[in-house]
Amino acid sequence: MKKTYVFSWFHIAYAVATLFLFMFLLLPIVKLFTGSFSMIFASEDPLPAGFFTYLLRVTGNTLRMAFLTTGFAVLIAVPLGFLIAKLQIPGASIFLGVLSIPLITPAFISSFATIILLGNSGVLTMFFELLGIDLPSIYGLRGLVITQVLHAMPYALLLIITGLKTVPRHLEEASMSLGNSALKTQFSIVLPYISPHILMAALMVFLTSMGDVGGPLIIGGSYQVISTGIYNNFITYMGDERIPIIFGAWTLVLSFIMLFIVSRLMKLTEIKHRFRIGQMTYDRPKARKAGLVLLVFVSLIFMAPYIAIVIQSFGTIWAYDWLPREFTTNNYVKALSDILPIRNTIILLLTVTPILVVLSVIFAHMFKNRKMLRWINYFTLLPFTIPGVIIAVSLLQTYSGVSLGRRDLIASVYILIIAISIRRLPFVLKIIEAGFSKIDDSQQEAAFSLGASDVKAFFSVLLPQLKPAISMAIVIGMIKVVTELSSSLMLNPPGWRTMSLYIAYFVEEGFLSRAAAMGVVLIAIVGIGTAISNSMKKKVR
Amino acid sequence: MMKRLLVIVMFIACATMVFAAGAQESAAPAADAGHGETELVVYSTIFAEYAEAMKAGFEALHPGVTVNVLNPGGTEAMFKKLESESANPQADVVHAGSMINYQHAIEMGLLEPYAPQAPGFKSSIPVGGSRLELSHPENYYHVWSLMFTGVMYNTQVLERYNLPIPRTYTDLTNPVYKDQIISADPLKSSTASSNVVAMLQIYGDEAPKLWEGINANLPYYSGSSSRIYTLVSKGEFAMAIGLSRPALVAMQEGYPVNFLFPEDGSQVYDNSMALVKGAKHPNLAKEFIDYILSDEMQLKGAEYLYIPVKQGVMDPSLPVSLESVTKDMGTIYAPDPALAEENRELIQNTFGEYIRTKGTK
Repeated sequence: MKKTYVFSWFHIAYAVATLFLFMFLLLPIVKLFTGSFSMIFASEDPLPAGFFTYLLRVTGNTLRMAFLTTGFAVLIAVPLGFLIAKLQIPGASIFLGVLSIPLITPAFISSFATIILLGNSGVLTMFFELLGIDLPSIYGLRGLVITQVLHAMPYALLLIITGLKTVPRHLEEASMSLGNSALKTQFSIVLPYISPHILMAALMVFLTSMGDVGGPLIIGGSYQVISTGIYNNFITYMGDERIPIIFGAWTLVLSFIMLFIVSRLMKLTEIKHRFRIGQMTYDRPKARKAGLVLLVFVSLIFMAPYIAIVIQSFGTIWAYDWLPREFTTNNYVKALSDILPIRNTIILLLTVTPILVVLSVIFAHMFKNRKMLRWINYFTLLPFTIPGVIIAVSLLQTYSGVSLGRRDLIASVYILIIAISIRRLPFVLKIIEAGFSKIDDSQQEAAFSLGASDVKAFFSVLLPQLKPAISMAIVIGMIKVVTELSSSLMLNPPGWRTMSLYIAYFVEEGFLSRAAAMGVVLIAIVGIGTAISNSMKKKVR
Repeated sequence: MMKRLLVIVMFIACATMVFAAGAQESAAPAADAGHGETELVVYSTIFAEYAEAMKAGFEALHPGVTVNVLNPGGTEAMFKKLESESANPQADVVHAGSMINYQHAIEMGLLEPYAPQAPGFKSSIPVGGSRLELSHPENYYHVWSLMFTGVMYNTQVLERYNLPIPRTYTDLTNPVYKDQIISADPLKSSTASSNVVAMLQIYGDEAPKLWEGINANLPYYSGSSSRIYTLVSKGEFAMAIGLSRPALVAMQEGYPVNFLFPEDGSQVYDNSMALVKGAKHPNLAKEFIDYILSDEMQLKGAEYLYIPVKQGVMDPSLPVSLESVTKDMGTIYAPDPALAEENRELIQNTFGEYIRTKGTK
């Protein structure tokens, strides 16, 4: 029987989103890589002796770093998530806010914060020296894992809490009524239920760790990983230009394998709920007290580097000492006297975040409803593993001839909006996808059978169920937009210096205090943005 | 309700985008400056505050003109951007980075010759015992300020570990400095490669032995040249093989650091600039190049510790003058692009191997 085509507005949305991805990610990257591939074959020089051993060693290093970071981040995030979501701990949302600060801070500021505390001249290093304990050097795997866990744990935590909010309370009630203890219920019912979220969190942490360039550049020491191999040989004066191509292709293979494994695992763990959501919490005073103590302890550890940043922001110079030499408010006066970076950051926040969320909802909807198109999902992950500077250069090369009337596209703010949207898409998309994986299909089918169009069914049935995921996606989207650096450096058009660029320039010049002050302002802005988004969410409810 | 929220959010996004475009347009005024050019785009990795001074000064001289100074995040990134945009260049002037970088840009066909008209600018000057060519023979680039290769050291760290202050490049091979010296990656950073070439100029065929000795003392090669100064300023490492200006800036800031002009020799390191091939505002670009070479801007640069190249613009007794800086220095070598090119493969192979095997032995 011939299938007749039924028009849907979703098809147009799918086409627009896919076209966006194709035009601004796939086409430029393929163009850049194919141009360079010919160079590999045309070159008469052999690759350096032992190159492939080197490639394997660097791969081993990268995987070791990513596994360690993922392991620690998830091991910390899961229990914390349970404490915050399940135990009615007083001020839980404040703890969550505090624990999210590392996420909001540009990665290179965190690396410096770690150095202030644990570097060779770090405050804690000096303290332990007084006790007769020599802390090992932070430059290498140890430092990398510390900074990455610092950054990745809050992300995993937010994903896991979102997952915990989707666990229907009746499941836990049923388990307890069968005589299981609350603890056993968490292990045997809740944990398996949120396993897609945990897996998703692990995957995100893993890929973020693999693609991190800033951390390894600042604190990696001689521990070489794939991302810096690509970066250092791409932005180079005398390096081997074949290396980024070979490394880049290799990373793609690795991430596709990983995504394949994870998508298989996700299928195994997919659970749909067919009942109304309602979150179960537990009133256990003893556990609450213990949980509170643990939360305070972890928050203090995670906050320590940022306390150092705040101190630095009010200080003059801070070198090999317990505190900065003098205190001043000058750094803030200077940071706030230049309002342009703040204005630009807010504009980008308000344009890119909605684009990210809408694109993600369309893609997630498409991957859920069109099995044939799921292969596209693999490509949305590219920005994780391809350094931002390469994405930027590929856009510059591909669109250098496109004019927007008075201005060329590559010299306009639109190229910046496009680049940040592309780079940050996977972070937001994965959250929305996790939200979609929890949706009960039967409700949508019921809507269809009652005659609702798919658009109507989407707004009235799917969207309400996606609420927790969307509000989380907005928060993560905002954070990822304001902290984007490597594409922005290459693409910022005249007059578009953002706060993260400002911070980067002053870190580069060694003016850490001014950079720290702007970092604190940045954290405050995102904090306010999150609060506004939360209050909007409450009003919607 | 959710639908309404979505509409509001999309409306905000669209409105902001329109506002963003408006904000950008307002940055390009419609005023005319004689040749019809009202905007100048300069790519420069120069210190942000000096970039502001450069912009403000040129705009004051050319009412109605807007100067946009963009920093793509490091010299190498800046030239990569220039290369990526070569089909439709967005920059008019490229500013900062050394002649090694500019030589490479000429080979790529990214630059256009221009002979500066700035009064008093000479195309070559004496530095120490040698002569330094400030302009490319075909006027592709011009040097506007100078620095020197050498070693930044943190006095507090040296004292703490009871280490002697080095005097020469050769001193850096002393095993007492194990893991206390950092350097940028010479294959990536022109700062680091200038030091490597300086050692070649001083020691000729013996240089690789010196490299080997220094390599043994380095914990790693940094992917970023500017970070090495920050790390030494903070006291993370005792020494950085680098350039004089960033070290002197840190010293001026009050960090316990100093700079060694090696007694066995130091290479002049230049900050150059050039007109970009296919620039959209070539007339303003040429005026800008002349402006940077004006007495006023040479002196302005000195405030930020960029050593002026024009003789007689500043009192030679002032600490930033070329005369003062070079007074007590050992042998001074002019950059030698030919020698660098001749040894390119040797440097690539040697340091490629050092970098790949760092941390494994």
